Amino acid sequence: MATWQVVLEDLVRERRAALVGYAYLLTGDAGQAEDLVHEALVRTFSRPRGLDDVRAAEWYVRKAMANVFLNGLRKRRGFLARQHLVVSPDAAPGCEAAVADELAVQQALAVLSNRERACVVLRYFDDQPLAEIGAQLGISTGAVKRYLSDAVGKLRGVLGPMPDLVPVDHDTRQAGAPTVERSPR
Amino acid sequence: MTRDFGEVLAAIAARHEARYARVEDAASDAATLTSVVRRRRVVRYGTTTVLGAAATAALAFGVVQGWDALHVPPAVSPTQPTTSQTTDAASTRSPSPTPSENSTGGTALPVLAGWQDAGADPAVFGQVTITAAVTFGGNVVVAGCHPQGGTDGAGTSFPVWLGDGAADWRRVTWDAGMDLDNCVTDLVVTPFGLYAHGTHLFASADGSTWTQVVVDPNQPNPGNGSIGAVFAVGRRVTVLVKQVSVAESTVASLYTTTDGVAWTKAPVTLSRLFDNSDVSDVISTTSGLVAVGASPGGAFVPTAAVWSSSDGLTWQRRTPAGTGFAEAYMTAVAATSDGLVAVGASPFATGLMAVWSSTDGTVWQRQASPPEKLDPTVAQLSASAVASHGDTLFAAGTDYDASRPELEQTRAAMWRSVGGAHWERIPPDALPGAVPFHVTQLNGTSVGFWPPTGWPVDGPVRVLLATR
Repeated sequence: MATWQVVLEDLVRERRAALVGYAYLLTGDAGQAEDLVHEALVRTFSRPRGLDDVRAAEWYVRKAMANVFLNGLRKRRGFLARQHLVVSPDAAPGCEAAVADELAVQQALAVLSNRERACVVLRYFDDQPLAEIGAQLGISTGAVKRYLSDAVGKLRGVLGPMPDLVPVDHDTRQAGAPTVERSPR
Repeated sequence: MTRDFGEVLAAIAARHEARYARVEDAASDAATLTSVVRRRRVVRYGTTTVLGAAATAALAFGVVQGWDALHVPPAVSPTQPTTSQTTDAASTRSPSPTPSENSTGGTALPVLAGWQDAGADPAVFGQVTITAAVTFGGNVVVAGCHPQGGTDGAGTSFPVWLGDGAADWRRVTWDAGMDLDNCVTDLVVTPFGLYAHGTHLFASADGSTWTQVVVDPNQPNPGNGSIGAVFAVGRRVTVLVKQVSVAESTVASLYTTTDGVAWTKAPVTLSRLFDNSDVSDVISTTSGLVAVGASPGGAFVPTAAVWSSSDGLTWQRRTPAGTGFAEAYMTAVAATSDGLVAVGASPFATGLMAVWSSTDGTVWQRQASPPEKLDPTVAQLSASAVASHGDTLFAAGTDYDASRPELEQTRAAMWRSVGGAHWERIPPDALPGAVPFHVTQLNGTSVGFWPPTGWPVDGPVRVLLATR
């Protein structure tokens, strides 16, 4: 078995669910999240990249997810041979409503544009510095600031004051800086 | 909102992760994805080859030459052994010949100058790489794993062997029903017996008979999940346990014992610096332990990381303290005459094998990687093991280049350095043969093992004895 196959199988077995959870933050839709993971996996592994461990592969896949998301899932359902990735609807639809904060945030995220949403996820979930977000999305740091500023404004419009959101004009982190100092999630 | 915005995002991701994880079709998903990816690769690159990398590396390693110009010093035998990987074959049968075995010529492989083959039967070990070796109870105990995820013995036997340090070896025995890891990545000698771990924790009072250890039966995973490392200093043994949290996160816990029986969970203030991290190797120093690896591990861009501790329980992060750590990770560490050397990879930046050094285990510096022309978008060099033989250091790993035909994409690679500052790649046609990467001492004799952690040619195992 080729190395890429071993890595792909390990990645799917060990990290598939985590990738889908991450994709959901970007898409806000369970089906699209699965599509996004599938497409990012295919794109990552279709090109030889020298990936010989799951850690490196997952990093590539997550980068691919943001780009695929912004470039649009043109064929959202049923593209490629992806039938195995379709999961059944949640047995208890709407269970998120039990947690008011989560429901409110999901609703607030829905008002954001794709770029705003991607910037918010990369910034406030991934803890990425602005420069890295810009590099990943292929936009300038200034554009990242603008998207985040607009997004935070919209989020505050829906959610009210959110003092924990760090002002985007005061990014003290440097590209490549570790993100391990954040609280465990 | 009542919670931090980032925490709410994490909770949303976790909810959907958990929902999706209920679908038990990972194998089908992987098969489907593999099929799709293979079709795309065929279209793009015109290849349908799916043979293993081991055969590739064997081809690359087909020509070997003796190397007698090296000064071979007394072997290093740290109290805390280094890690490595091995493939495991059933002890009751000889493994079938494989391309790698044929290509490397089995015991015909030359041995590093200053060492000789002990004459051990490689069939006892199977097609494996060796991950750790220690002296315990008057015997030598070695561990290994399947570097290519092979199935020869995987999941059906415990990849640990006991021997006299020369030609007489046998596989150890283990409790029925024990969770069997394909890779046992470390062996740690403690006052309470010998510990081993892959993703599970095991212990033995005599090195011969093994049982599984559960450090916290009240938790869903600790002791029965992912063991990150075992640290032993004096009469304290501490186990690092990693639990997958949401999305990319792993949450670390430390369990410690001072009697080998009662395990106590350490406060989160002591364990949190291992969150999202991977410990790849641990070495003893005069001031305690030094662990190397990557942080955050798992998903984000890895950052090479070093931690140190005087007791194995209270740790301090020592890196990054400067440039040279981002977008890289450490895999192995070795003691040198000047301090410590760690090796690893920088797959997201230069693609070159990465080296760091420290005189005290506290302050680390990135050393220049051996220069090589490669395209980091399709190729990378990574070291997964390092050994010190006097002033000469060896690192072993892989040379991957996707621009080569698929059968030749992964090749074995070895580097050497005199003193640890300047490294050079050993040309493929000048590889020194079997270099002892995991060395221990028994009755005054240095005993080493080949092949090392991460070496892409899995086996045959060579037991090597120092001749001077």
